[in-house]
Amino acid sequence: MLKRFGDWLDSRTGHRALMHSALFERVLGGARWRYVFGSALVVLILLQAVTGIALELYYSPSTTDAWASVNYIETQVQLGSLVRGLHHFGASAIVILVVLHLLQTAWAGAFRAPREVNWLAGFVLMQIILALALTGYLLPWDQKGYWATQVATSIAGTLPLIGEKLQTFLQGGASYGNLTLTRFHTLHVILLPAGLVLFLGIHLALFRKHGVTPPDMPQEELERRAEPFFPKQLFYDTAFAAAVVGTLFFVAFSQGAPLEGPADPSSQYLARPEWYFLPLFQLLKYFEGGAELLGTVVLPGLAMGFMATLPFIHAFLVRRLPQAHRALALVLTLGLAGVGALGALAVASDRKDPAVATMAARAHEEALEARRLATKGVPTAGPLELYRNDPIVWGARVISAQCQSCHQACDTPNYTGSPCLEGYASRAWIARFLRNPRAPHFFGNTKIDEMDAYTGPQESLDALVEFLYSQGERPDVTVALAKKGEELFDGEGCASCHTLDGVGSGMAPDLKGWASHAWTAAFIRTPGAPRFFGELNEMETFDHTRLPEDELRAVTLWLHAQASQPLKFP
Amino acid sequence: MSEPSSVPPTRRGFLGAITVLLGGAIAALAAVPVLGSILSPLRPAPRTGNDVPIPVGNVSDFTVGVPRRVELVRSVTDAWSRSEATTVGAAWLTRKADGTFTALSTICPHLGCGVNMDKQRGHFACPCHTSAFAMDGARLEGPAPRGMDPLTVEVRGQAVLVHYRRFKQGISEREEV
Ligand code: FES
Repeated sequence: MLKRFGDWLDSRTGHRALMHSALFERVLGGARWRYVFGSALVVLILLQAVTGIALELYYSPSTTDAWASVNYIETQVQLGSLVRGLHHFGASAIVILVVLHLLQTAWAGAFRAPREVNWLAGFVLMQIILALALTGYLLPWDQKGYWATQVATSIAGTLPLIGEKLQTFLQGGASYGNLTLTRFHTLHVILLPAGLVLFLGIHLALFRKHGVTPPDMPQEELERRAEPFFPKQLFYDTAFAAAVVGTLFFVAFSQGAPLEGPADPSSQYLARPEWYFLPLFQLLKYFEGGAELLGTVVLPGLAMGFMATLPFIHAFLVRRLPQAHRALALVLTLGLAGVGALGALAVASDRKDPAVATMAARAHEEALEARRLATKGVPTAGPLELYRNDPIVWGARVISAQCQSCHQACDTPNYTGSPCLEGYASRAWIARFLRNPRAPHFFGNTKIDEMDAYTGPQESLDALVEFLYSQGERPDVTVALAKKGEELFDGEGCASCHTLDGVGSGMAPDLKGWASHAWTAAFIRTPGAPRFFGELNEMETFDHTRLPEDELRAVTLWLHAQASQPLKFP
Repeated sequence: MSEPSSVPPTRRGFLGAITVLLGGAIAALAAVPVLGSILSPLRPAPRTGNDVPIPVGNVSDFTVGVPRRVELVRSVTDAWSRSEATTVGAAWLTRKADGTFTALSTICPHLGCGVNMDKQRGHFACPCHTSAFAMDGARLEGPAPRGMDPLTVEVRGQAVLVHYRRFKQGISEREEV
């Protein structure tokens, strides 16, 4: 039955002859492990295709949805994070294998006649693969992809004559936006894959025509050692591909593809490309001003030009130098080693720089925060709204933008700022303040020095702390202790300067409702009012124009929440 | 399939078997996550807070006995995105003399077109395959397998609220999706 169907099919398609010629193609000189890279690349490209299709079912290319949909793939889609991990690390694996394949074929002298055209097809394939890597990188629209790709399109913009037009064309406008994503998306999933399939077809067809580039041996020896592709070479190829795919799975499963916070054009982000573009990135550091084009275009262009024209350079040299292909392979290898060294330099200089580590840690925290906020769904206005919709998170952002020029971060060494705000109005903060109001983290760097340190016994301090703490509308106040503190307030002399009537004396801030939402909001709006610091005030006034109502609300909420945070100074 | 080869036949069979095994392993490794993710929407969906009643206006906005079409707008979480106000559907609301309301989903129980009001004939009519329904939603004619789907209406003080639900189309029973 099966046989009859097979016969029927064969008479229509001739598939048996096809299979036969595929399996029993002669490998001159015998099967070798070093021939495995090309077929492993084919396997990986297929894997990219299927994982890419799976991702495409969930991905949405728009500035408001891209990040959210990728985060959805990571967190909600069954096995989605594994699929994305495979696609992400698969790209890296392909680049590595391309280099190995290139080295292997170069040392075999595959650029010599009659394989020149196939070398060129391979060169085009390499360009397409790099372009796929570059375009894919932007699609999650996260901080890393956004900023790293900016560098690439800006480089296009520096080209003489056509630069500006080219950049606008690539971006789909004067700046990044929806049209950038739709363009990169079209390139990544339609145009470049189509080109890849086309040139892969040419590459494989020409490979079939000429066979592997055999080792340098007399023809009789090659013939004598020749083997059919099946079983040995096919086994080598499959075993290697299985090892590669297995490793890829392990890495994808254990690491997972990274996803930074959503692209934020207003942020300062440390832009670093994916590792395979680091050499180019490093090259840019050496060329300043007018010489920049040398690093961005001329040198890379020359290197690529050398690779593309290798068959013809060889044809020219070989008339004088019969072993020219060895020399050229050596030049290519040294060039690639130089590229690798540039990449290593980039990594090393980042490792040395503590600022890089801090920025990376900050970016990582921000990513976690965004992804935590996104669990409730991303607003239709886009993922940046996540921050604005969470008052505490947004408050922290406003604080760092508006307040931290004076109120520095508490863990700044040699603190020289206004009172620092992390842990503000917590019990620990109040206690520390009462014991030493002139410490640098409190009033030490202001002109306020009238406030005396409290030197009474610990129990009285605890009571006073609880009383002051209770003013901030806290849910966890110990009422009896606060009552006791209220009595001490008069007895211990606080009342000689501070009032508790909500009006104030102009001598020291009134403490009724101290650090509550209303108190804090009023204070930020009018710190110099008699109810607050009066004459002693040094803080700038934040009116509606400097701090709009919603930002004030966020800042107030953030400050109020500090009472349950730990102190960040010794 | 025989071809002169330096590899003896038994070893050939062995290598062939391992090759098939390894190739199968590659395919299986790829298939699991790819198929798993593609089939992800088939998993039972978590219950969302989608049964909260939707306010559609005040009692006085409705004239007794005259059906009025209201849009049902509420916050929606759709895959990754959350919107505060999205139109999820519409209903024909009729205020009765006793102050209660009837509501009929505008989704035609045949194949899901939006049902209109035919004022001249005084009944509901589906524009797609000419199903017609009485004012109380009962099926009059056409291919629809059942009458229009009623929705629960709640009156809280002056406010009129609709509990929105969707039903399977094309079957004579009323089954929620
Ligand atoms: S959808 Fe209404 S009649 Fe067919």
